[in-house]
Amino acid sequence: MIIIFSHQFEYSTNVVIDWLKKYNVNYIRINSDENRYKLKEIDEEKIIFCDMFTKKEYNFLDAHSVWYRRGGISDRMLLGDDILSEYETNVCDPEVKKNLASQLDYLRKYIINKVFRNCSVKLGDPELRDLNRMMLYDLAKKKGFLVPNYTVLTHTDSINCALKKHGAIVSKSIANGLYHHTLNKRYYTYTEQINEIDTIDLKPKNIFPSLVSEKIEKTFEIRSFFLIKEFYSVAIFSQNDSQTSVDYRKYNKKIPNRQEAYIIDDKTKYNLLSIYNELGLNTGSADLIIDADNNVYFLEINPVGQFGSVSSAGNYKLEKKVAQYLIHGDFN
Amino acid sequence: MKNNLHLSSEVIFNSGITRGVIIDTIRRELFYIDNSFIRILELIEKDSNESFEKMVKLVPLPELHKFFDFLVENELAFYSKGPGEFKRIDTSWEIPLEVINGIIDIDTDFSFYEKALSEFEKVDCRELQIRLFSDLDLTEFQKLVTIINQYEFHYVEIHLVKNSYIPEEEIRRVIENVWFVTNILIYGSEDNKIVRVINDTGDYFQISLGTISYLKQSLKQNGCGSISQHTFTWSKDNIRENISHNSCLNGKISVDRSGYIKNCPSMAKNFGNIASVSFRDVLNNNEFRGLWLINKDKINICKFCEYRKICTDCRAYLDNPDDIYSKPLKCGYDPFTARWEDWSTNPLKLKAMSVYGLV
Amino acid sequence: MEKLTLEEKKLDELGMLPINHSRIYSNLVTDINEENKLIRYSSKYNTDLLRSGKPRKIISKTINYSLFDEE
Repeated sequence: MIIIFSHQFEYSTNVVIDWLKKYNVNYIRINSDENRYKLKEIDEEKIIFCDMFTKKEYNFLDAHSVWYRRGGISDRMLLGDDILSEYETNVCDPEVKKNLASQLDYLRKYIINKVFRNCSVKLGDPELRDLNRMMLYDLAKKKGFLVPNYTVLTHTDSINCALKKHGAIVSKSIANGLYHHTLNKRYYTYTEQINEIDTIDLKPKNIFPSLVSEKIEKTFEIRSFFLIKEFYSVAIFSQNDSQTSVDYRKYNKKIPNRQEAYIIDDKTKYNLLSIYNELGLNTGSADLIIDADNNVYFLEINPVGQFGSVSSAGNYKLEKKVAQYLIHGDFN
Repeated sequence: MKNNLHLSSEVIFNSGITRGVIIDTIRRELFYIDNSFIRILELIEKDSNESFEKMVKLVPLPELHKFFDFLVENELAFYSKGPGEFKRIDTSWEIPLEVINGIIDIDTDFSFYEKALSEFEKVDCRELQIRLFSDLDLTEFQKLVTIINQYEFHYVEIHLVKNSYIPEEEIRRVIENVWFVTNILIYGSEDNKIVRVINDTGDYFQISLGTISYLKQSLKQNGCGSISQHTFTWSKDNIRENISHNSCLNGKISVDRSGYIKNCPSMAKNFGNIASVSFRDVLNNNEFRGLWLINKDKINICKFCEYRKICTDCRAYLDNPDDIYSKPLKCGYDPFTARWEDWSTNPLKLKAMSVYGLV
Repeated sequence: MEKLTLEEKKLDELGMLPINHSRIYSNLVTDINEENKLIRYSSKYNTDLLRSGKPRKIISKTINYSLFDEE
């Protein structure tokens, strides 16, 4: 049996499951945002969840293979709908609430950890769903990558210093970018260039800690999906278009950027591998840029990044490869 | 000497008997070129050390440079940069599904409708076309809709004939209420128009739930199979499928108006009636499956056509009704002259047309 | 998806916000009730599915496709 942790709305998981079905393999898909599975009992030998639709019971320790795609185990899965609503509405004492929340966290960690240790085939890591961008920069540098020089500013005066020091700079968010919505609008922040003109007449004052980094004049970007030992990469050309020249996620619909199947060079492969090894990750999506002088810069690794577009752009059939890995622990 | 020019992964090319074509799948453009340049593209693709010497032998150097400039200007190719390697994309096609789509034709006999739906669901057919040839009254129509709503499909389109019993609001209501029914086509309408089903949500971004297409033409079984530039596909997935499979029949299973299981309702050959035969048995039948593998390279005339990788096919209406490898009857393109003409006025097609009852 | 519109703030007007908030893109979202009509939970596949307006490939060729060229 294969256990997959994911979300309800996760397309790559759907395709991987289609392959698992084709190969007639049993699987359970746990979506953290639904109430299909409910914890029944745990002891030394078993972790029993009940499928509330079919009333079938599953011992998660029967699984030989596990994929952490996204999500995890929600409060709802541990409590069930009735206890959850009582827990949410009737527990008023903040200290009690805090304590109960920590009980649930420990339980959740215990289950996921035990399932992972029990499986011989594992893909992804629930402990590493979110990596710290600045820590990753430092790690990438240690492993031999060029990394855009960065500065965290706390005062307006330092903006001009950063411009002088780095030439052109771009602003980035320290954690994830802004992505929120009000009643009828959704807001996004991307990587943006800061120009000297922005700093004219700026009053000296303290500001919220802001990450800026040297702007790399890129010839193209690379998105590289890592699966066990192999890299599957696409090069994305966005340079000819000012709408996407700083951050290609601002996708241009009219004349789409070219996405090219690409093989990263051995040194880049080696550097990335040693980052993944140090993190203990066997899958992830890395973003790199190539500058005009063929230098490779490291931008980020997202352990739970989407791989559907890389798969289709390069015709890599990554969903099939993931399914094969989950079944056999290799690609044969 | 390597020239470091790489074709874009999003570009495919194809030779024809009179000319070649470069297909930009993402930007949806076709570029016609002389076949000698198709040889150049093949050499670019191979990218061996002798490529450039071979190219110069085929095309004079100034013309070759002009061709390279044309490729680069249109971003069909680019000079390699960076420390890595650009890789020519593999065009193999494989999906985890056995059945891709299905058709149910219904005239006046509805008796097999439910059985057919359950058979489609059993083989995990996700996309379905339902063609209703007769005038249904409102209750009959609503019953068909209620029944299908008990099943789980991903996409369903309903083709029906305009009549006075089914009010337009009812059609709209089906798209609003049945999650997978997103397109309804009404034949015999006064005008050709496509209406999106959109609810006014004021200050929000308006989304379309589906479309109702009004078509002047009539709905006829033998009206199927027309091939033109408008049926070309740009999807890389479809193109890869076309290269190795029959673009229309691959993954298709159909039930005709008498309940017979066929590759396509317009075809003569049936594999038994749905009352007694399961889809599973038919899908295991070699003759049924064999048609899925008739790609354009195996079809007369089509194999000489520059459009063969992006074109759709039809095995139901053929130039020569006795030859399953013959060219689709309802295609007006002649790759030998590179001209489109009206197929229905072509005297050479008259005999076949009369076999299919088209004259 | 609707086109992104840019809201630019001078660095002076940012208040306590970090610099990368000086350029914020936004677009109108859809009404959640309408959006929910596009999404359906499938117990068969144990996933939410998004309504598709088009088939994976043309299912039959009974219609004159030149009418659909704009699509």
